[in-house]
Amino acid sequence: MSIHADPLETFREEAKEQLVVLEESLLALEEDPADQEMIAAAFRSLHTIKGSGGMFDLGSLVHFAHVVESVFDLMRNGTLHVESRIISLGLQARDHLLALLEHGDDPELQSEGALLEQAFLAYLPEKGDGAASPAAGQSAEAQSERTWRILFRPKPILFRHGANPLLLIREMEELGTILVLGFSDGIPELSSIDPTECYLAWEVLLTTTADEQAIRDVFMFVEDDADLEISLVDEVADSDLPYKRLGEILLERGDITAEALEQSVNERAFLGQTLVEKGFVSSERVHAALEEQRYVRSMRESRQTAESSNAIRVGTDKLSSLVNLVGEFVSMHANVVFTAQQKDDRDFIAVGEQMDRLIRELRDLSIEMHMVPVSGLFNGYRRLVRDLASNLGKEVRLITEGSETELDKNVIDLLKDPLMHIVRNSVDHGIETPEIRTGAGKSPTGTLKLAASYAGAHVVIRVSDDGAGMNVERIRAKAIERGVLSAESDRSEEEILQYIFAPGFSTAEQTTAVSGRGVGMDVVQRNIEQLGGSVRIASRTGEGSTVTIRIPLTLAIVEGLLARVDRNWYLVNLSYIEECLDFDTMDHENRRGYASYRGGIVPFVDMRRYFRIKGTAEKNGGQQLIVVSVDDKRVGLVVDEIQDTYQSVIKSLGRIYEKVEGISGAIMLGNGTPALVLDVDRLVRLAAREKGHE
Amino acid sequence: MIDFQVERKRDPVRVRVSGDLTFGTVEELREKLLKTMPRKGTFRLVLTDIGEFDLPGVQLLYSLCRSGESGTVTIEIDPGEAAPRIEKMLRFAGLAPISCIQS
Amino acid sequence: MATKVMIVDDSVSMRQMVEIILKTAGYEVTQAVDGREGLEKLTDDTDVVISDYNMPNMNGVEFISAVRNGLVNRAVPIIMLTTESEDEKKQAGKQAGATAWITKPVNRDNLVGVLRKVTATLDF
Repeated sequence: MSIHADPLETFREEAKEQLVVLEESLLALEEDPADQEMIAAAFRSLHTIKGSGGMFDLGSLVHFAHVVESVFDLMRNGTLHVESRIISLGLQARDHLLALLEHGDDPELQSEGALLEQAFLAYLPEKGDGAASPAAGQSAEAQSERTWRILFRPKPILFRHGANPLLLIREMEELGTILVLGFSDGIPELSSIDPTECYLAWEVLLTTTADEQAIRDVFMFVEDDADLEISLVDEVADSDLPYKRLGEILLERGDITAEALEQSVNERAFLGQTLVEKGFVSSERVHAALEEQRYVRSMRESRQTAESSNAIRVGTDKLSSLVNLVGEFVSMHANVVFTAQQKDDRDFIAVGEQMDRLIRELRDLSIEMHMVPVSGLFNGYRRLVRDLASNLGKEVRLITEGSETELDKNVIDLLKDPLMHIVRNSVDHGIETPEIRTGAGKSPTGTLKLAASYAGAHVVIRVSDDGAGMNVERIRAKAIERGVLSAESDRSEEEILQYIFAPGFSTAEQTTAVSGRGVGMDVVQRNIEQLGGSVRIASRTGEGSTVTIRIPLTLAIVEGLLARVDRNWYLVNLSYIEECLDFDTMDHENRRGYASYRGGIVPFVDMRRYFRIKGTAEKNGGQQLIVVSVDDKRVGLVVDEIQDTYQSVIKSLGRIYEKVEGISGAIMLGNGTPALVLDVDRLVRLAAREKGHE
Repeated sequence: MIDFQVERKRDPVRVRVSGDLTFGTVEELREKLLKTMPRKGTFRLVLTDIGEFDLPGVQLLYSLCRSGESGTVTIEIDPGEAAPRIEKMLRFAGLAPISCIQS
Repeated sequence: MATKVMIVDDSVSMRQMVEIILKTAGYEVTQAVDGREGLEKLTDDTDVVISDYNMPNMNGVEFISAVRNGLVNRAVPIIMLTTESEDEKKQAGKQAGATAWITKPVNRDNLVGVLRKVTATLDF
């Protein structure tokens, strides 16, 4: 074969020969339906076509041949009787395959093939290939449909790089239902236009089950040639609320400034009309915002109709009770296992282990039902940011990222206040007035970003602004003044920044009406730690600050390692633990509290000393070092003994423990004794601080 | 690729354009339009036998209309038989109707 | 009207394979052995170009900038073929004005998938 012979042509020739064999065997079967030889021959020829077609990626040919082959397979093994209708269908299939070979996959052939395929599929049992019930697919879709707003602003160069926005629109259309709003208001007149540049921009509302990444993939080749903003605007969770008002939409999209809106709102006329008349925004933009309102409303209506048919609404209080009951059940189960072990009843223990698997599934399922996206939380701050900014004479744009990230509804409820405080702080103390910003060479409008993402069993929420940043020197001075930091300390800037979370720390020269209400960042930190989370701040002078909150996905149930110190039990959350080591055999220096670890050293906290428990560890040794880590800081916790892993519901702390640093909750063990949940995050931080003082 | 004919030089000035209205022709078309567009009066662009057209092409039509918004010249575009096609693309792209296109 | 694709690659087998895959997917294919021949064969009717990076005479990036700065069909979508390790070349291609890129090995799915992303006859 010469190098120029087209292998595809060869395949076509071979396939046509097979089709001749197929036709002959079908005709023979018409004469004698019982001829096993002929059924097998027909099957083989279909199989051959399917096989070699696969090498050439002839998708629809292969798929069709496969369906027909499956029916012949049923006849071959006797499940299906040969009847004249199948034979005539077979002959039609042969003609269709020939057409596919000769003309490729044109639309007309496709629809013809689809009909024929249906006829063959009818002979196959329900679970057969390609017979997946479309209804099942649809119900899954309806459950997680959300509406996204995609702002796509091409750079002028876009057209010259061969990109075509129309194709991007078509691709989005394939993901779900869309509303396309194109903006032509940036096109200049003939004398000043460069017609090879792109002056158009788009906003697309897309209602889809696809996730953010799938939407981003549409734009994968144009990301350098355009600005792209994707945000979640609506979803099932908050569909009971009325959709955003016109002004809010315009503001969110950056079409108008807060100031302009404020001025026009006060006029009390039709807002859209006033804005256009004042020249704050083009009528095209107002029209688009109105379209958005209408679109979201109509999507909600159709979704509600769809939902009522395949979902059940359950009150969140009922769900919460379910989660709590499952939690109790988990504890009860621990009790059962404990009793079984005490009695050394092997059968009982085995049953307990089987139950363990089921309970885990039940736990995961109930937690999953109780998870809601953070978008509701994030969107709740839009109004706040707008009002604050206009009170302070600032321009602030709020953008959100990863708002589809889900968290336990209880966690979200408890996060509302601390997060609000951080957002307030950013607008109040972080972002500068337009005059100052312009003077510093920044855009007059500040940006506040709320971002959420998963990190293992935690969710990380970042609040960042592009404002003035923190003044490290001032914080250092204040810390020294308050005696919490020694003047000689060589703490890193990053460490010093964290002092803003110390009680009574407020660094702004003047407290303002907005955030200076006596609630300090220390309260924020305490609230977040009560959720089992942590909060950190990073900042660069002149560039802005980022507050990072890390919180567990769920509060309801923790899984931890049970450790004993003297006669007390403590639970260490598994998600923090790096490893457990035999403390007695390790090199360690008791006075300064360091142990050698992985070729370096790790500071450790002797829990006996920390909780001021009298006495010393048993002489026979057996002390363990639990190495925990938060961010990249490691600390070892010295305990007397480690027991199994343990999962449990956390009970709120009684008053007695409220002030104990290093404890975040309590659980009830299977045998009825209580155990305290260690606040690992706090302990690590305390240890790091103490070592820093030396 | 683009055929540009000045059909009437005095007010109302009328030009007839046929061919592709695409990235490849918009620069040439712009130059010719600028050259023929009067300072005042009415300028009428008649489209006939339009082949392909794309977003740069449509963008130029918007730009032409915009030129008439502030000045003393009135712009009219007769889309000819391309009218339904242009309308279809604008609707697909979510763009507002081009104001000076005569229906 | 079938979409017209030009494949620019110095490897015979690569051109063959791309042609086979694309013909069965209903495209019309022209071949060029390097950037220079690619420039000669490029016409205003070419709907999309697929170009390799490493080629004698004129490499992929030189070819792309020649098209973008040329007179013939200069906004034609150009898909660049790169390998996993050639991120710098991909960047250079983007700089020069590549519309999209495909990481080798080339198969039907990524070829047809990317072609569909950058070119299609929309019904207007």
